[in-house]
Amino acid sequence: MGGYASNSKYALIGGMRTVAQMISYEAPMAFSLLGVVMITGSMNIGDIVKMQGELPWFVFLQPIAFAIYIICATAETNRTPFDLVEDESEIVAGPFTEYSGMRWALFFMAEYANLLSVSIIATTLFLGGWQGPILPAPVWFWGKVFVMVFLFMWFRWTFPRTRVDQLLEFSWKVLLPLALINLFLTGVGVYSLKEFFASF
Amino acid sequence: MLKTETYTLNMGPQHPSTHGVLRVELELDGESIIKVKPIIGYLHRGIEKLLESRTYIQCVPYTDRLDYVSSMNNNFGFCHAVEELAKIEVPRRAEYIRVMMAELNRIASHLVFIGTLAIDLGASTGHLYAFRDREDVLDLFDLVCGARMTFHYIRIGGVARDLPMGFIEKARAFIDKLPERMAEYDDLLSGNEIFVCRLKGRSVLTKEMVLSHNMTGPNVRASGVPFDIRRVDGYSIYPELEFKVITGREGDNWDRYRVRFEEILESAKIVRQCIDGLPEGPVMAKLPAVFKPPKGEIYSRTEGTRGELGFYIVSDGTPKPYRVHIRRPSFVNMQGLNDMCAGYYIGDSVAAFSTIDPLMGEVDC
Repeated sequence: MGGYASNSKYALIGGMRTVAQMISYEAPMAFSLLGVVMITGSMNIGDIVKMQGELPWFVFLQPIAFAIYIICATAETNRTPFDLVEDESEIVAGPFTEYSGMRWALFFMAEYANLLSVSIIATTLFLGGWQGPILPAPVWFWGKVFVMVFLFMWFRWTFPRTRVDQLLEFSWKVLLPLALINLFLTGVGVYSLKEFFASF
Repeated sequence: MLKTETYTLNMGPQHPSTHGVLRVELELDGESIIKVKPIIGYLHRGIEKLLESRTYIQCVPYTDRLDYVSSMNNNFGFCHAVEELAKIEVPRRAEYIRVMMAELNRIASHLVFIGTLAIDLGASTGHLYAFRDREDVLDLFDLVCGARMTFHYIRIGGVARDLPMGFIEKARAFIDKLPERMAEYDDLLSGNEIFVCRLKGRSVLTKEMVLSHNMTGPNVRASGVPFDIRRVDGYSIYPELEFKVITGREGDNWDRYRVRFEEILESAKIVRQCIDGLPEGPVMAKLPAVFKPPKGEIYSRTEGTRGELGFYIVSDGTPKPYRVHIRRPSFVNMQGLNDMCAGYYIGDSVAAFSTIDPLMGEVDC
């Protein structure tokens, strides 16, 4: 929307890419999170974290879901390898091309807030939230969050970016089927170990 | 009723990925490119005309400003042309030093290519790594002539001064560690799945295309034409040196990257041979106080880093050239741009601008 308003062609291309990217990566991301929800049987974040105290962390129970989540999160937050939205070497800065000053800063603060929030979600759902030995809970929590942030930034500096057709193909032809298979396997697992999971 | 329209996008002259001040008009249909038109002239300084009002000796520094990433090769090309015109015998030691400098500069220039290709594809680390190694080459040049960009080291009749103390050891150390550094790029870039996917099979230039566009240099070798003037003409001491002419097969972006990558290693081999075989003797031929080549004209070509670098000089017997025309490889290579981009996506166009490796100082002259 912001891109369209600035009436620049770079921004227009960037805006179109945002829409395509958001739609195609939202789906596998949701499916990857569903795996966790199926195991816990609850959407309450507190419950999910508590269960990871008793079961192993979900990154070990749901490794495929974790990998899919990480990939989708990089795409959602528009960071390299999937930063086609702002893609400075092709379309200058995408939707933000014509912005400057505080308006531009707001976009970027939103971007970093986004990065932080996907890291927090990853920590809560897959890395056992605030739990850990010896150190107090907040230290563990923020420690894990910053490990995730570091991971995303590491990707950003090392990897080249994909092309737009590769990006969409990868989402629809690889990630989505993989997420569905993972969901199916989780379902089978949860059903056959019904007794075991019921005890939590 | 669904109706689509094409639209025009101006990339440049101020754009993060066009090298220098290249402006490209893209005719787009959504994300795919229909037509590409490079528009040049933003860096035109009229060097050819300027040369007419300078003496031959004064002309040399102007050639530094053509392809400013490989100034040594330009100095070499111009001096070679003038020497052929005036039939000057260059001392052997000077020839060795010249070839050494030209090849070191080729390494530096190809490293810039790798670096810019990496940053254009979004890999910032690859960019910094390549520039780190180029820095070492520039340090060597700094030792030799005190400059890091516009050298004016190769002069008509020889080179400006002999190699300084410690240069040979430093050059040897650089050549020794280069393969190791190149292995790093192999890991970081060539080994990266995304990098390979971005380049393979895109912007294909067939043999017929490159020949009909009269392209030269690594771009033509990537399409499988083993045309290297160092081998074909065998000027200077190149016939005595051993090196391979690297060729690609497909002529896609990947081949253009690989050809330059391998050429760095070949150039390193040449530098090593020059260091080992460096003869003693003077580095400058005896020139008359007022240098006047005889009346006549000459076209002399050398292998620049980007292709055939030719100087056409008309002399009327005075100390100043009557007319100089420079065949700039980047300018001629630019013709292939449309074939490299049409039918591909915007993302490929950026890789294509990068692998065609234009240098605006040379294109506009």
